[in-house]
Amino acid sequence: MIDLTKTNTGLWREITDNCGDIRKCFNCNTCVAGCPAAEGDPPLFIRNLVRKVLLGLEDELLEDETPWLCVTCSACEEMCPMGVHPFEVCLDIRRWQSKNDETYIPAATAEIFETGHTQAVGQVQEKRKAVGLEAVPPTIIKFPELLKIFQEMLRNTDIVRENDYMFRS
Amino acid sequence: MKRIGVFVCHCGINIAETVDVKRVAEEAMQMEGVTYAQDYIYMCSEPGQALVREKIKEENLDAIIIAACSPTLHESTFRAAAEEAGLNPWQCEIANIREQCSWVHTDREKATRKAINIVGTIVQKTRLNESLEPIPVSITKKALVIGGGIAGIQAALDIADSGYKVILVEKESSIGGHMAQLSETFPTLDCSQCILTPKMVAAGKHPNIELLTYSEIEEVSGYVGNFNVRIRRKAPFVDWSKCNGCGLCMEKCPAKVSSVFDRELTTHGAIYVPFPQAVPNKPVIVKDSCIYFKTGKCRLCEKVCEIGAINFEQEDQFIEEEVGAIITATGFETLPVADLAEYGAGDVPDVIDGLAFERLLSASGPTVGEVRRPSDGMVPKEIVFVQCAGSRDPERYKPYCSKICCMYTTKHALLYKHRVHDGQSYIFYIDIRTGGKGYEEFYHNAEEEEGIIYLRGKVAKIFRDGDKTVVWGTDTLTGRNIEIAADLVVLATAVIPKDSTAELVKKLRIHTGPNGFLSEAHPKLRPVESINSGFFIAGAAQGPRDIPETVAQASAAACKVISLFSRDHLEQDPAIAWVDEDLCGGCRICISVCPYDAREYDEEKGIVIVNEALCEGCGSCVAACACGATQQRNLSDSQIKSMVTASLRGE
Ligand SMILES: Cc1cc2nc3c(=O)[nH]c(=O)nc-3n(C[C@H](O)[C@H](O)[C@H](O)COP(=O)(O)OP(=O)(O)OC[C@H]3O[C@@H](n4cnc5c(N)ncnc54)[C@H](O)[C@@H]3O)c2cc1C
Ligand code: SF4
Ligand code: SF4
Ligand code: SF4
Ligand code: SF4
Repeated sequence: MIDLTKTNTGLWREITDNCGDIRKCFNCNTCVAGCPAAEGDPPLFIRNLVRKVLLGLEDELLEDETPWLCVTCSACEEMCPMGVHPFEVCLDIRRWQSKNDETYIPAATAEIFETGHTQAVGQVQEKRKAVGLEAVPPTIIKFPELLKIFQEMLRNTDIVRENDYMFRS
Repeated sequence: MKRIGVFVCHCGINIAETVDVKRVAEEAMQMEGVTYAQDYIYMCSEPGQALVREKIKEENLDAIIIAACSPTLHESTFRAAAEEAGLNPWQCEIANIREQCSWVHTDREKATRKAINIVGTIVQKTRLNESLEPIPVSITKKALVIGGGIAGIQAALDIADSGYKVILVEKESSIGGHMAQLSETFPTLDCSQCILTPKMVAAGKHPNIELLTYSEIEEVSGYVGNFNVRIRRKAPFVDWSKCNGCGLCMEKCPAKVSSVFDRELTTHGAIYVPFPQAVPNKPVIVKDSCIYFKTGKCRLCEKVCEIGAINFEQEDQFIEEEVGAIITATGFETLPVADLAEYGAGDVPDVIDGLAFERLLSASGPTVGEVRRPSDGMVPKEIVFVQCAGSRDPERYKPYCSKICCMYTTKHALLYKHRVHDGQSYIFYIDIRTGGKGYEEFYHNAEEEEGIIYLRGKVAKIFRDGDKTVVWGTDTLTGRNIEIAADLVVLATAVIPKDSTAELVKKLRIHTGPNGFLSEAHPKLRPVESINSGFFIAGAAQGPRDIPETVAQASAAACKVISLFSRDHLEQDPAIAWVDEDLCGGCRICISVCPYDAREYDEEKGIVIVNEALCEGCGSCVAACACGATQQRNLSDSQIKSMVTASLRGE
């Protein structure tokens, strides 16, 4: 049971920097309907994240790893009828999580370090081939020299430096 | 022998898909008396009607039959066409082969045979139809409006402005209805009293409006154009013609009565005026609460009233009036909080209903517009609104949507925020329904600007815990249960018809639907008329509605009355019952079966006669009459017999 008199219902003010006015969200769920990550495992339900922010469910939101599942395709951004910019909500939540809890290292950061992606692109190579795409997507993961440079850059960030046990490629 | 023409309509594919219309026309041609038959794609279209007119003349027809849709739809269309071509309109009959045939069957062969049969039956009727003339009925050009809420006030003003007299009957001592209780009104937030009082004053002063407040309808008889009404003027125990409204009596009265107008948040004396802007601004004494009436002692009000207006001997008066049309605008009430067990059954002091919250918000209310909770006068900091309280709950309460509460709840939360800046409001809802002009925008504005938290889900339980009122609900959007320890809870209780309406409709002989709201003659095409001629309906008495809709409907009902009054006389359908004086033995059985009180016993002649203006041609008396004295025009016994024979022969 959530006691709404005890939650931080002003949380949206702290979190939402770059997105639109999330109070406009009327829960139509279009953002989820068009979201490829909503089909993932676990699924990303961006509308539910908006809801958690609005109800001020801080603790749950800090633990929530689903914002990191967003593939940044921006489909929701195009479709939201209320100008919420759900994609930006994802990024705002990621920023807020990282700022609010120094010990919080989402699993996705290791993935970024290794592949330059938040998603485990390595696992979908068979599927890509099956639909006639090249196995490795034409992003940084395809260019090992560039990936190396990218990883060197990341080593200079606090998160990688301080938690280097997680970032050994 | 009559020359009859039969016109078979395809109604696009509505009829032609299931019924072989060409064959119906061919078969009709073989029937006795039929000299012309033809099918056509849309008989009701202008070319279709032109065909009818042309053939009446060319073929020298004495009568026509249109085999098409129900007579309720196009009988008048084709009768007018027949008349234009020189036929008496009652020589035009409709054979319904759509609603009663093509729409309800799938087997083309059987449906075609049935259609032929229906046409054959109507041919038999038509052969013996007489030419008739409509019966003229005079009209008393004075209207009665029952209920002085915004609906009744608006309708009365519109009729009065067009020059006709109106009697406006209101049960309470003042007109105004619920709108007088409201604070500010959605979606524009104009002050309810400020927009209502000019209309109340106008109705009170209008030379064509006779205002009868504190009055009720006792009895109604008669028919459209000529109703007789008996009205009871309840004794206010104050001589209103003397009373100057000084209010001294009300200041001195020691009795305490909880105020219905203020939703029992305050009390007033046994002698009172419900609110300061009342029209008329005259007090009444509530007999049951008055100390003098109960114990024989007191009469303080009488002592202080310098002009001697108090009169304990006053009795109810009865007024007889003749009117031509009646508008019923008796409004609504709301489901009592006490009926809602899961929401505290009225025993939790800080659970109130929307109207009570209106009084708390109102500048002229018990708290002068400050939001203070009833239990201890504290300004609530956490406030929960519960929508659909008793609405949309077919299992336990009302199955319908009360329509206005989504909007007024958002309004309440918004006005609360205007008064209590650091307060937080929560709204539990199932759906948000904002179908009016500017309504969706109003809701979004409230959601964004005022920081109201909307929670999608219904509240399951409300209970008291210390000085808090705890609400258990859910947020279906996160799938999580929610608890809010609130300072005040406001229920958007279901809109229900005014309880006295049930008794009133019996007197008027009009109808209500399954939920007790007044029924309209047709939900789309005749929304402000009752099925009984001369009766019109307006406002929330017909179903939950807001002020814009109420006012529009009231003006529409007024317009119907004005259009009725603009005629010199009414025309009554002559295809009704008549009595053969030589055959009637005066047994009077027919009087007991007539549902419209259209039959009277003529003492002098010793027979029963028909009041032609009241007879609706239902035929009950014809069936009941043992000696065949009562017959219905154009549905005589011989017509019915030959119709039955034709219909059986067809099978
Ligand atoms: C809490 C709440 C807030 C609302 N806020 C808004 C708003 O902000 N904006 C808006 O547009 N609408 C609002 N409404 C709706 C508005 O109140 C109605 O639309 C309006 O009052 C309907 O008017 P009416 O004349 O049909 O009925 P009523 O106002 O109910 O008037 C009916 C009148 O008939 C009288 N009467 C009843 N029976 C008899 C009888 N047998 N004989 C003689 N007289 C009789 C009654 O005493 C009453 O005076 C609100 C309603 C509620 C409950
Ligand atoms: S598309 Fe926009 S309005 Fe609809 S649920 Fe998603 S964020 Fe809310
Ligand atoms: S007589 Fe009745 S109305 Fe008059 S003051 Fe006494 S209690 Fe009040
Ligand atoms: S108007 Fe809204 S609150 Fe009222 S019954 Fe309908 S859905 Fe429920
Ligand atoms: S036809 Fe019906 S309404 Fe007319 S007098 Fe007979 S019973 Fe009454």
